[in-house]
Amino acid sequence: MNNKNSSSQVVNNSPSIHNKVKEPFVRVTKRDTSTFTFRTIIHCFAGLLSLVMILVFLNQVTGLSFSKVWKYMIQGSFFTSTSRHALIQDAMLLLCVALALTPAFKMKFWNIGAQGQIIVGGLAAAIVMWYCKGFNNGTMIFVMLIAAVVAGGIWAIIPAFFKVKLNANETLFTLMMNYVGIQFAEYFINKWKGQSSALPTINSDSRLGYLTKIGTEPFALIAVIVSLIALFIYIYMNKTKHGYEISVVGESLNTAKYAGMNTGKIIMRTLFLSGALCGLCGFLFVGGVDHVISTSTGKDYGFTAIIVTWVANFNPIAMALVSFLIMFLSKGAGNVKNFASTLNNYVADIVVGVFLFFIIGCEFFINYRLVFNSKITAVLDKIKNWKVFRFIAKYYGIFANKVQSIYQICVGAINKFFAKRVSSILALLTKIFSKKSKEDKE
Amino acid sequence: MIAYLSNLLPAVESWWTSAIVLATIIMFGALGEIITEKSGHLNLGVPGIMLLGGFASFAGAFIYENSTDTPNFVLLLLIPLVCAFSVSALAGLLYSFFTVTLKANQNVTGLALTSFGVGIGSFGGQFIIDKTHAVSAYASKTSALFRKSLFIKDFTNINAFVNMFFSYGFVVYAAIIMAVLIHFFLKRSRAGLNLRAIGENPATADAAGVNVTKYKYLSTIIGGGISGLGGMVYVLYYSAGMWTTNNSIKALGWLAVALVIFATWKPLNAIWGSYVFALLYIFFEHSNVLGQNNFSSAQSSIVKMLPYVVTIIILIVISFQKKRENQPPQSLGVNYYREER
Repeated sequence: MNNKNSSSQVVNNSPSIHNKVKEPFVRVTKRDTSTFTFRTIIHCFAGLLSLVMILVFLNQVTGLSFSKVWKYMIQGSFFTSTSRHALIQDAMLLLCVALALTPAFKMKFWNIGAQGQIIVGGLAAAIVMWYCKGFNNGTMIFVMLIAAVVAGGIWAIIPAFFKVKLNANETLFTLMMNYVGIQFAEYFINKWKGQSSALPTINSDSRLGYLTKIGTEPFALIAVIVSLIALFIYIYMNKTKHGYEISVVGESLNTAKYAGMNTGKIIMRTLFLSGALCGLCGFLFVGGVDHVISTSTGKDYGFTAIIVTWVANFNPIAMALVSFLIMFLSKGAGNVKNFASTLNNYVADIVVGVFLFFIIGCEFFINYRLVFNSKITAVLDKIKNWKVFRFIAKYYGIFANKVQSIYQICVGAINKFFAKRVSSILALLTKIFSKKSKEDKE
Repeated sequence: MIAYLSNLLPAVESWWTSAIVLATIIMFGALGEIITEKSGHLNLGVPGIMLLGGFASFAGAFIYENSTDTPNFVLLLLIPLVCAFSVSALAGLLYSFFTVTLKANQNVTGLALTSFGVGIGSFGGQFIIDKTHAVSAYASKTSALFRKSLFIKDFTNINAFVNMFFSYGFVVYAAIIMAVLIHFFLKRSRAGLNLRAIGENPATADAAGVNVTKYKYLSTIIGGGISGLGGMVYVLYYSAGMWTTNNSIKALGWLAVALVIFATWKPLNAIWGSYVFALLYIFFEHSNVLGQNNFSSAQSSIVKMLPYVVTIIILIVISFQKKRENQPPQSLGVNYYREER
């Protein structure tokens, strides 16, 4: 009895005792809560650390100084209007896929098949462009959009169907659907191109099915469309009954069933939405940017977006931020390449990979806490009492409060700004959805 | 009829011989992934790991060949093997550190590893060729050693049948032997039983006194290393020691992930499964086995689709049958945290 109570003391004082409990050097416990400020600080720290790693890597490989590497990276993304537009366009397209994946991931349905859904959506748009040359431009774009959305949705609903009916592993299923989609696209590409080496731009003379540009470049329209999608996803996930059902199914399928939800329908509906938005992204690629379909349409954003959605924790603003950072790093590294003969095109992949690993890894420190053994804790406590750290701790509290309040002010301002508009959209949405669910019941 | 068939024989022979080599690549990738998945970790980083393995073996062989005029026979063989295995094992270590210790999401970590590995591999291969200022981008001597037939010394007067089965370098047979060994390890050894138990239910295995963390780390690291050998076979055998930064290793890596499902997580099925996949994968280049040459490239895309479609069908069938022995490891994709219920 006595031994049990004072076991730690016994261990410290008399190591010769036989039944001594071995204390692990460090163990991991789960955090109950983590504040917004804490999460932000950890993420910023990880981002900065990854940036340092990237700069060191580029410096070592090229021999350019840190300041030069940094300057070229900034230059590659921001200096000219073309590079700025390219940055916005690519980040927005990546964001579009990340948004598309949000409902599925929130439901804990691992839709790894975004890449295939993008390609199939783009392929559907391209098929319309290729075969329906009699349409006028408006009809053409409308039909392309519908075809892309439906094709992407169908591509995602097939795995969902088998998940619901047979509980087939959705991660592997959607992964395989990617390559079926890519081969499907390759079939049409090979069919259309005939003997030539690559498929030329479709409808290059009549410009049928080309999205209208705001200004001279396609980026502005894409930015507008994707922003609207972001707003839609935010409202859909947080303010509608559908969004609530998705989060319940994601938290616990049994709870959802117990609450009387038709889980099969919810899963299939959500996956259709997810695939449809991926298809829309494919439509933006084909109609807005490339005007041609290839097996690399979508630039593997379908895979990158999975990571973006996950690390952003389903927050659209964070997703936008991560997308922009990824594109900044990728384009920046691409520009550094132009000034160093030792680099090649693949350096961007490495740079983005380093960044992603840091962001994925830092999640651990947000969700878990490290507990050291008593010896280390004693040392750490001593260190904590140093003047410097007391100083930091004091100002960390003030700083944290400041950040929190600034964030709240910003959110409040945004909420106020959208309050009127959102409420009207919400009213419309609830009308539509309530009508639908009534029809379902009947 | 026989005359017709014998006319086709050379075509079949060339189709078969190149498919066997390709199958070895996929088989190595899939065997590594089977070991990893048996511990309950779905490593989607296999394409990246294979490319890293290919790059490492090429780098080792290329640098060694360019450093001496009279390369040692043993070193020529050992350097690429050790390089490929250790670098891909390191990638496996990175993956297991993230998923086992940091408890990061497996799918996300795997995909990040794929893009990172593809980046490092593609970048590094080109980087080394540029740095050494070598005349040719071939690791030709090593490649010759890898391609040297294990059984046949003299190819002058050889039966087509013998050529189809006994004309390959040692790696082709090594892959088959490795598959059999892994089968016996999983089915007949205590460690294999523990590993399977962890994949099914880590909490139970933990309660039974198995060191879950150790097993997970080891299986991911060794699995990564074996997958990486696939990349080595591609670079030093299939493409004859030439470094190419195209996407073919990546595509084969995804095919390896598909093969794991096709084989229903059984190493012995991976042997014939890889041959089927490879035969389908390169069917277009050898479509004259059908006796006609008007097979269009568009149709070949449909044939290339078949491995994935068949895998999907297998996936549906095994979830339809609900046979215990064909199911994926139960805790596949789920991280184990002891304090969680």
